Amino acid sequence: MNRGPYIFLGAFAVLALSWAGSVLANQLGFGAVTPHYDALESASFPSPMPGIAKRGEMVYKDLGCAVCHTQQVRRADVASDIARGWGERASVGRDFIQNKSVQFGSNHIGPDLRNVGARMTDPNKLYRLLYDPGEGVRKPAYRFLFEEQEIVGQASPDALDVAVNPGYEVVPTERARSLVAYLSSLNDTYSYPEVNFVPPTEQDAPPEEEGN
Amino acid sequence: MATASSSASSSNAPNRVAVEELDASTKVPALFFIFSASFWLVAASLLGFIGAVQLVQPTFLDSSAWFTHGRVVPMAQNALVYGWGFNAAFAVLLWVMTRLSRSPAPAGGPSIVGGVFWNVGVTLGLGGIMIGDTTGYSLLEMPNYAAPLLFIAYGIIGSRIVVIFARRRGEGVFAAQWYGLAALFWFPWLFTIARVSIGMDLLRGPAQAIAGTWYSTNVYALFLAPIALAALYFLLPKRTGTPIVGYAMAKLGFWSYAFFGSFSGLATLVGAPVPAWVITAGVSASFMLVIPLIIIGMNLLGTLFAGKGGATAGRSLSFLKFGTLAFIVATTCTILLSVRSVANVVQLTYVSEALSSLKLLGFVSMVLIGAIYFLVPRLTLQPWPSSALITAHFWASVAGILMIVVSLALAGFAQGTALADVEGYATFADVSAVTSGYLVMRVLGVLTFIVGNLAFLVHVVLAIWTSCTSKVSEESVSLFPNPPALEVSQ
Repeated sequence: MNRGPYIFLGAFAVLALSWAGSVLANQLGFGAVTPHYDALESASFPSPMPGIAKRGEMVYKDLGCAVCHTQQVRRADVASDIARGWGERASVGRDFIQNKSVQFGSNHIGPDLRNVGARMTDPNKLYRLLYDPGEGVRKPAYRFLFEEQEIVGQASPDALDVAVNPGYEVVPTERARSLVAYLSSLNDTYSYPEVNFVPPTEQDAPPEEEGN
Repeated sequence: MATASSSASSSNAPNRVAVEELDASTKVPALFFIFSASFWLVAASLLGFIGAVQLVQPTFLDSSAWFTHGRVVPMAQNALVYGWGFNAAFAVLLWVMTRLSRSPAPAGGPSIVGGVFWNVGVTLGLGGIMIGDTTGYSLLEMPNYAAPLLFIAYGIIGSRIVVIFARRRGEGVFAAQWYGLAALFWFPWLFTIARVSIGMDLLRGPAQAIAGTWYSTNVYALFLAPIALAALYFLLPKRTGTPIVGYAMAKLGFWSYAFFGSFSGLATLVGAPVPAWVITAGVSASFMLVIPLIIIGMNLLGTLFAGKGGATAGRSLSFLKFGTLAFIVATTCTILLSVRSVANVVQLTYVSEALSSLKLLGFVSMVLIGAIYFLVPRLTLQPWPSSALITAHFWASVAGILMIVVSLALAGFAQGTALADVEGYATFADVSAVTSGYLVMRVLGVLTFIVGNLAFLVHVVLAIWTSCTSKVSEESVSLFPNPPALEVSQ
């Protein structure tokens, strides 16, 4: 190995193989996954996200929520995610094809949020958790997502039920509204054909996402 | 130079340029990179401190979006990897490549311009994360507007090092050069592919997350780790006075490390909604890392054990020894943690952070610090101003890094076990309560680490200051004997 070009070509081959195997193959695989059309419900799943939820997804990303929260429900035979009520079923690749930014997360510092919209149906509870998590919840507050404003005339219908100076109220900003809309939209309850697919053996499982 | 280097007496003497001349050619850019690196190391550990405190006291600095936990953590990681790791890697690689290629570095001006661009790019990137312009993928968080600057800066610095290699004298290309040269090419390819495909939203659904994992694990496996290994292959023989043991195997170690290492990061996706073959590929590659682990371990540990020591032993060897052990332990843990039954418990817990701390701090950082302690006196031709500061830095780093890694590993195992036990730990608050004691220990670890890093920064500034203000005497040159190149076992 006394020639620079050998090292260059070998290094290039290693990286090209790694890229083709890791990134390209998966892009080809997931690029072909389409929403599933359910004739009984005359609707496609996953359904497209409303605009406000899409903006909320960007807020989720820019605040780095994924540092503490995952968005992936693991199978019942490998983890307790389903037993903890984080989802009715394990996540599959198709759940994520409408997401502009897929944030799987890497650590359960906080609970999984993939189905937070299914278990917290009241947006006010989410606002409250963001504004003031309360004692005993190990979570920072996100008061910068809210504004304290003077009540002029009638109190705002969106005002949070929190104690502030008399004559003032706390209302969510546009960013908070988007974020809560996004969180409320996280709800993978639709069962795709591949959801009930059980790999024949652990080692030789075919790609789970390719069912139709 | 009046003092003929002892290396001039080695076998390929006719081709050799005096070692002092080689060192002098890298002096200015290398010192610039080393100063930048030590500054970023302090900055990164301070940001890491904020992040660590927030896990114990979540309300700490939570009134501002700029310092919310989800932004501080990526800022700390990016400052550590791109600020400290890359600057230190540039300095060490520039110097190692010059020495081994026996060709003086070209004029340092462009490298310094590149270094300034790089630091501006990193600062811009961190600022971008702070104001929320992140991409959301680990180690790719820096916004798109910082990427071109980093790319250009890397191109300038990297091409100067390639020029040194291209002008090499003598026949041999040594192990340290394989690792260094390959890493030099791997990073821009990785960076371009990942930045373009993720930054421009070319990938769909989970393919984004897979590409993100592929990049972030390979910045370690294909850039930082190879450069630290290059430093070890070059410096261990010098410091121990022994050629690399089992050098004939090193080539197999290199290629098997490159191939399996580049896929092994996929194993961290276990449990995620990605095709099963992706994880199988990652787990298999992680298992196969046992081949390079045995070979590289034999090369490095064998050299350490066979070392005569004494003659050239110094504090820099302590850092290199610690780094070698950390590499072996971290690679072993990568293999063990990819076993599915273990992964199911520790996946998505603090254990993965413990492992990445062991790799980035215990292995890469300690080796680069050891290399810097070795090379700076040879550039300035002055001894380090204070050996007490080096000793303090060493012990603070060892204690700090061990505390960080051990506390995170224990926190992760406790957290993983509690998560699996739904009846015993019914609510999430019960689960997070089991980690709190360990997370306090981690804060103490980070504080200790900061103390060492401050000592390092002060010392680097002092060393550069002394070198600028005092004259080099003839005797001081002889303080730094350069034994014959021992990296090749003939």
